[in-house]
Amino acid sequence: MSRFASSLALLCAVPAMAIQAQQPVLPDSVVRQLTRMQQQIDSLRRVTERQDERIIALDEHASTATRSSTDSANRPTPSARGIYGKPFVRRFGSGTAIGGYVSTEFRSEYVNDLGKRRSAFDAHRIVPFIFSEITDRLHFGTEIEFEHGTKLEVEDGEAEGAGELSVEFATLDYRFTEALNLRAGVILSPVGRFNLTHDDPINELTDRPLVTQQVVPGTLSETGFGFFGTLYPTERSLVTYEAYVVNGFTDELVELEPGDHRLNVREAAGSRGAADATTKNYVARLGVSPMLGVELGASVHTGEYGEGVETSGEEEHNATIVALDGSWRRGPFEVLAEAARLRAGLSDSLRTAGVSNGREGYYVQGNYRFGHGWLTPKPTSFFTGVIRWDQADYATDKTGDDQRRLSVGLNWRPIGDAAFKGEYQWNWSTPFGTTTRDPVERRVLFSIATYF
Amino acid sequence: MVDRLRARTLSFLTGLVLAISLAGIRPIQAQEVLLTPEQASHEIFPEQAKIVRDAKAISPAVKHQLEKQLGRRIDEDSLIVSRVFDAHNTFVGYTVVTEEIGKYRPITFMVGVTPQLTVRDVAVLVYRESRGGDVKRKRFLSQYRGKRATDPIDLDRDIINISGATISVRSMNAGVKRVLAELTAVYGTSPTK
Repeated sequence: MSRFASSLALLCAVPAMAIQAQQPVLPDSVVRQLTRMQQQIDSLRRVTERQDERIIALDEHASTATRSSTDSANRPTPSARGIYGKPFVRRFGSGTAIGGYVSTEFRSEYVNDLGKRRSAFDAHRIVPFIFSEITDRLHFGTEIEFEHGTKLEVEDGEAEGAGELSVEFATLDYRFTEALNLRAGVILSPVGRFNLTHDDPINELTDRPLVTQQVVPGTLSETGFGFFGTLYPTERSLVTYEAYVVNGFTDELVELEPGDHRLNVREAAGSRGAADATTKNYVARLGVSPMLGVELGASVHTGEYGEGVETSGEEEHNATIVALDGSWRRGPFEVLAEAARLRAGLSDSLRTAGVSNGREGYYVQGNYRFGHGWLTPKPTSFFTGVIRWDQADYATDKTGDDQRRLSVGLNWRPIGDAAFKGEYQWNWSTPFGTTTRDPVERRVLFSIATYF
Repeated sequence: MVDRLRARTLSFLTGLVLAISLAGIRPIQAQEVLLTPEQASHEIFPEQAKIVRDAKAISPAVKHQLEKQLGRRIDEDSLIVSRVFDAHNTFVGYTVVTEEIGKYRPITFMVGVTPQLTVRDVAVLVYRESRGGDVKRKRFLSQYRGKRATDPIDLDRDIINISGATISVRSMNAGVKRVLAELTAVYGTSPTK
């Protein structure tokens, strides 16, 4: 390139000098040199043009390639990087991409309380997501979730109908370095790995683990600010972190129906907007991967819960979720595990009323992938055998009120981003205040989930 | 307890902001040149003393067989191979510089192969994507060591995926497998001097 620039400079300079010198006749040696340089310039130009054409051709090939050549097949071990780990199949100029996932299921189960079997189809989730690279450093990503075939009508400012509609996350990221990124908006809270990687096409079973629903109120997303990043302490290890300040859990945590004794954690997530004052909670996860295929994570979500308005004489109470997670992969084998515990401070009146101060649980899951190419499409299809053990205690300081679940599943994936899942569950529950388990509840599930 | 936590959080955030200020903000480079071919060759074969470059033609028949074997199109009509020799003039292996398209742009990398046609190591020379750059790290690339053309070289079979970089991983897998197949087709399995 410098030769090219020098040649250009010389070419420009020499005629100018020649004019100043009243157009003297150039010596043959200079003419020959100029001719050689011109040839070099022409040659370099041709090389550059060929390279440009090649890059353009490669870009066009990439953007027009079929789904099977550009999708992220084999994505069974999910990304903890949120939007950056998702596949996007359409880009609409200026760095904006759109994608999403959909899952629909059939379930048939025997319910002890009803004393009968029931079954239903469920258009469980339709989740479009949008990602935009506004600049190299500034990115926006969002995911909007329609659950259970959402059909809502708004009358007098109130939405009525069936299903749920929510912004799962909507974040603005500003990248300083790979190790330090600012994130603001509705954040997918990093409490355990599963909350970050909950997309249905990734997960091998239709039902999510109990602990990720009943202890960590997944999918948990909250409004706040903070930082995330990736560090590489050694050639083979990797450390990821996320740390945010978010609107804190609300009083919904302890607003219970008469006779209820479980913390209402599923309704406790903080306000999304600025209409009310809120407490502030701190949420963080540290992930350590000493080598490829092994990751351990520790997370915490802690702070005061309530309405964020200080009232003299009123006690402050904290709620804390601590979670540990791990994953191990080698060849076709994969083991996933997560455990979480919720503890909340309670007022005297709630304690007297018999409300429990906590929940806890864990799951362990094993996946085995096999049968690559047994069925069409042969290059990409494979099967996965799955087994998972779930345990959750919904009232840790009380007798009973726990649930155990054994799930076995067999999935077929035509490509890594789409799964046909079959699952059989055994559920054992112990009612509150007793030590005797109810009869087992069996459940059959079938679902299809895919990114699009 | 809460006050202590608040203070710690504030300290943590302040520390991070200071870290940014002290470290400075480096420009983000979409195209990252990591190694020259010479550097990569020395990294894969530290004993390298001499290299001999071969340009081997890939005949239409061989090309057809490779396409059938790999289940994909082969664009190259020739293979540029560097044969590596040590100080005693002993043949220690081959290096091939090749490209595969990542998510949107090509990844340029070198595959170092032993005389027995197993992968000695892989090194990424140029990475052009803005995401998925973990494939350029030894943490990932060391998985290819010892692989043969007959190995699956496939995700969740003998290669562990990098979350968030699946497409780049698949591209690298395809490239390594193609180079092994091409070398096997061109040189056979006997050591070449």
